[in-house]
Amino acid sequence: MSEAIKVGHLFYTYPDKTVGLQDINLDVAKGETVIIIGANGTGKSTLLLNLIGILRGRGEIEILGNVLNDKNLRTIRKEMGLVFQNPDDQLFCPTVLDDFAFGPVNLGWDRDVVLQESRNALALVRMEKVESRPSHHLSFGEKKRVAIATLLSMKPQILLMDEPTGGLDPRSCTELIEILYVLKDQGKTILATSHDLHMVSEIADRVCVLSEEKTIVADGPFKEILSNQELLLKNNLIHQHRHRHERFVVEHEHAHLHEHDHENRE
Amino acid sequence: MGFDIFEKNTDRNNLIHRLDPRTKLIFSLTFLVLMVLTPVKEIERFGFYFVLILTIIFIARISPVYIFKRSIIILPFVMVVAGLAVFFTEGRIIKEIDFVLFKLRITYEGINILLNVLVKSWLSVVTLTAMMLTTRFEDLLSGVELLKAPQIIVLMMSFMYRYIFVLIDEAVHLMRARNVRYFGGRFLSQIPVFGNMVGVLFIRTYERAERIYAAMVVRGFTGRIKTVNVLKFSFTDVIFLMVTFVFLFPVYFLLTTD
Repeated sequence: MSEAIKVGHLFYTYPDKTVGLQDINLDVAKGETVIIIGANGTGKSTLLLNLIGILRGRGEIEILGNVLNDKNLRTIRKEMGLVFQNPDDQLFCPTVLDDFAFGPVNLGWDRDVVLQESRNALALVRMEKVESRPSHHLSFGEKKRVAIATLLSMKPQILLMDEPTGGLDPRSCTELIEILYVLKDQGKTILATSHDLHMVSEIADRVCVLSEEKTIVADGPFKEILSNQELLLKNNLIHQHRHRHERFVVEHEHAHLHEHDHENRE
Repeated sequence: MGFDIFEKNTDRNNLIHRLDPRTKLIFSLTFLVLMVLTPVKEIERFGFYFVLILTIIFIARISPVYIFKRSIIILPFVMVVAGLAVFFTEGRIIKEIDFVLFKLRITYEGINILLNVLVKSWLSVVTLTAMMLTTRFEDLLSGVELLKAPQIIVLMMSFMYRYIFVLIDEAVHLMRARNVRYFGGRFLSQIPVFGNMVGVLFIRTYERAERIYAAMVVRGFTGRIKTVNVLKFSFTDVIFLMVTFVFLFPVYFLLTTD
């Protein structure tokens, strides 16, 4: 399998000298779904912004064989889209259809193709009925789905998603995971960030862990990473607390929505 | 808060709404120039201008009351600026008010200036409000661009329109956060709080605007405003401009009271 994303020795420091990323090395194969997990403030969003050239760090980034530089930026952004953490940042046009059309129109697509692709993308996220509604009137879950679809209307090969399930209720979360399944089946390369271990276990082929030192400390199949309790505990992805199982109060490592055994409850 | 404050009514389907934005821009600009150049003493001509705009508003099926309510917002600003002219313009004195330390003289020329600014600015706002309520802002921008307005002006208008709602949203969030923890107190003690809020508002809006710009850039925005709606200058547009100009120009050039 050839590489869709190749990152070598990427460093990023914010203008106020805060370290954003430290020596990031990451390869994502075409069609692969990789989830980057990490606690708040570990640089997950910073990494995605670097990959799409919004932030510019020091190091090598290659997207579908194109080195990330000013010359290749437009080509790269045609093939790779980013879903922002807050859908309100992404949906800035008066109506949903305008938001869908924004990307394709900027790519110079024909009007009929833009409308067709926009409607296909809306159908994929099951939001056909909201086409002419103002984006800001949608619920948070709907906004998240529409934000994903605004990228799908551009038909990118690679999807970067910043906390796609963040802030969603359980049903919206499940619906979004179903959409991600469809995208996986279509062969899209997905690189997402999350600390929702439930979503990770549902869709990830591979998981990378970003530590508070802003570097990748583990990279492997999701089963291997998620079963490493010590790693997850150390990186603040699960925590130890007391909770109740029937009449027993137990204390053990626990991540909500993440399965765990209860053998020690006596 | 959102685009609906401006986009309300723009999705209707009638003669005025269907017109090409360029037609509306050309008409509005011509109308405004002629109206502003008309001396305020020409009451009949202003009556005609008002009837013309009112007719357009009726054809567009927008409530005149709604437009007039929105247009009133300009009056306090005009009164502050032009109101002073009533007292400080030299000319024929109508009334003199004697205060102990100074005298205020209301002059005929001063009232003339006030009326001039008041009537013209109000009619201008009514005209522009009618245009905004019958045209989607994106289409209006495309129209401005197609009329060869400088790209920088179009961009500034576009960003102002996008970010004004960001500013309002952030201000509303800050006010809510303050209100849930405000239990009354002296107004003076709140002044530093408002000062801090303005500072925070600026920083938060700036950061949010940066994120929105990033979202635009990753979807191919290169500094040109593009829309999925294709503008068509049709026969109806030509007829509309001809009919309105046939009334407008003779009224301006021929019907003088001198």
